[in-house]
Amino acid sequence: MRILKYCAAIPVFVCAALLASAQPPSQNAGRFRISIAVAALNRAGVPDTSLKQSDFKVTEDGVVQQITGFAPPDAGSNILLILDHNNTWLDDAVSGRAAMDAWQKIQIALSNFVRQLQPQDRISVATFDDKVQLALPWRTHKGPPVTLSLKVISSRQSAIKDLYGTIQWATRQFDSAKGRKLIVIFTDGRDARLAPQWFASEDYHEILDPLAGLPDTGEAAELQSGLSAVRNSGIPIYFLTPFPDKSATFAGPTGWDYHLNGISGNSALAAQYLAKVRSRLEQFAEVSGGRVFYLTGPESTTSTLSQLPATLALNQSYDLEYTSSRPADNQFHRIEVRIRDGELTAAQSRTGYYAK
Amino acid sequence: MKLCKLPVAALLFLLMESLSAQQSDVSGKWKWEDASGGQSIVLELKSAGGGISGTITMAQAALKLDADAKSDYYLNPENATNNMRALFFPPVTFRITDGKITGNTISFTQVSHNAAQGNGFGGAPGVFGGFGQRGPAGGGMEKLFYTGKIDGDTIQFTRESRPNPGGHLVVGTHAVTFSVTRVR
Repeated sequence: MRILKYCAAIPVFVCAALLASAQPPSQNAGRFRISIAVAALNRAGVPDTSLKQSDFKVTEDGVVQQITGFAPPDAGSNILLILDHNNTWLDDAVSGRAAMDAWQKIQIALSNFVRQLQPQDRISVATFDDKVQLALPWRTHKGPPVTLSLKVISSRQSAIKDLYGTIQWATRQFDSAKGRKLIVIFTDGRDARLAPQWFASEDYHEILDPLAGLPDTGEAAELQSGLSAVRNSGIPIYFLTPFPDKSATFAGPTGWDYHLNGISGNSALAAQYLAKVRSRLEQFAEVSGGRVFYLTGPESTTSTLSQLPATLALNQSYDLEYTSSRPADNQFHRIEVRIRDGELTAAQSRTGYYAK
Repeated sequence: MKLCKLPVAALLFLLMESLSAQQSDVSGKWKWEDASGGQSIVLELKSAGGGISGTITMAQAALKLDADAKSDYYLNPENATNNMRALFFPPVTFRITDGKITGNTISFTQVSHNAAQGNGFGGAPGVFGGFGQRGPAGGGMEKLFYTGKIDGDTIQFTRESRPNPGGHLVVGTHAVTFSVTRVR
């Protein structure tokens, strides 16, 4: 039996999808429900989709694990696609022609995404800002074409967004699903919990919170709660994150745009804020076994979304699951998948996890 | 006669509590200041009969036209950015409510009059374009709950804010700890 991981022979798109992100998550404890997507590739890089559960062996730090969940590629995938229509990722405020153009491109990319699904795949679409709204209930790709109204996906309902709450909601949407399960979230990750607060007095004079930037144990507790929900669900989350380094600006009382550093006495506040946003996304992705795709502009947003089924090797990957009851030791634990047929290479969606 | 049946320990406890409350007179001025910039929080408190009244002033920069003046806010010629910040975003004072003091524990509430979107100032003034946070006046209210432990000339505070059911523009729970020291 020969194990090759991430070798050059594997097609680039599969490699990109299956490379594991390994950013350390934050603290937590308990049992670890681990799911891994595995593509079984022959020497030519062609996936073999005819294997059975007994053809796989999973080890954690060299110790064989009991596979408790198995879904072959033809079982289909359950994809919950969630769109952040709070629009803070747009360059130019929150509405207008530029916003509509951007959303039209995303709508086209969504159509391309859906067209690549197989008849057995199921998809559901939701949007969120401070609340989640279902735009498309679960349905298979069979039957009438899947359509998504531009108005529905692009209509911003609120000035703030609740990403943590949306993620928790998402983990509860797969109760009866069979086959591979994935959550794909298009968002810049700017959950309102992370933003400096802004207060106004009785006579409506406004002030940025002078305590912004100090450790916030309230936010930290809610992050941990979200990470636990994700870990317990065993469902990988893939973030499509546009413009992660877009300036932390706001329109001030004078109508001018201010950079955060222009109004806070803490000159590091903007950088701290952007780093925190990235860190939270990466923690959610890591504990779930997913990853964050950072997107640099409108073109990369639409192309990444269009190519996502191929990137995630949908309908080519087996879904394996096991539960590790090890204590939370804050260490990284290596996962290896072996295939009985030594001619096949196991390309894994994750190479390990932090037991935190 | 019933009073006589009370355990001696309980009476002592009540006596100690009473003494403790008397000892923790927080009347006066207290200040937190960030070392890296001009951010500050100034409390001006008056305590009477277990109740607390007063104000909390939040600032992002220092502006003091005369270096010898007794104002907290001064114009520092060596720090133009700070001056701009202080001019455009001057300190804001809030009344505190629900102030209480028990022993060495102090608590009060600050009400922020949160805003709705858009008030005619170029689109969405006061809304964090970068974070989509909040806007100018006209929205709901957010309560900030302060609880502090008094230790001599220092009070260690935790400030909490929670989502307001039925309200808007506040997501999640926040809890931040900071210390103020008495200004002599």
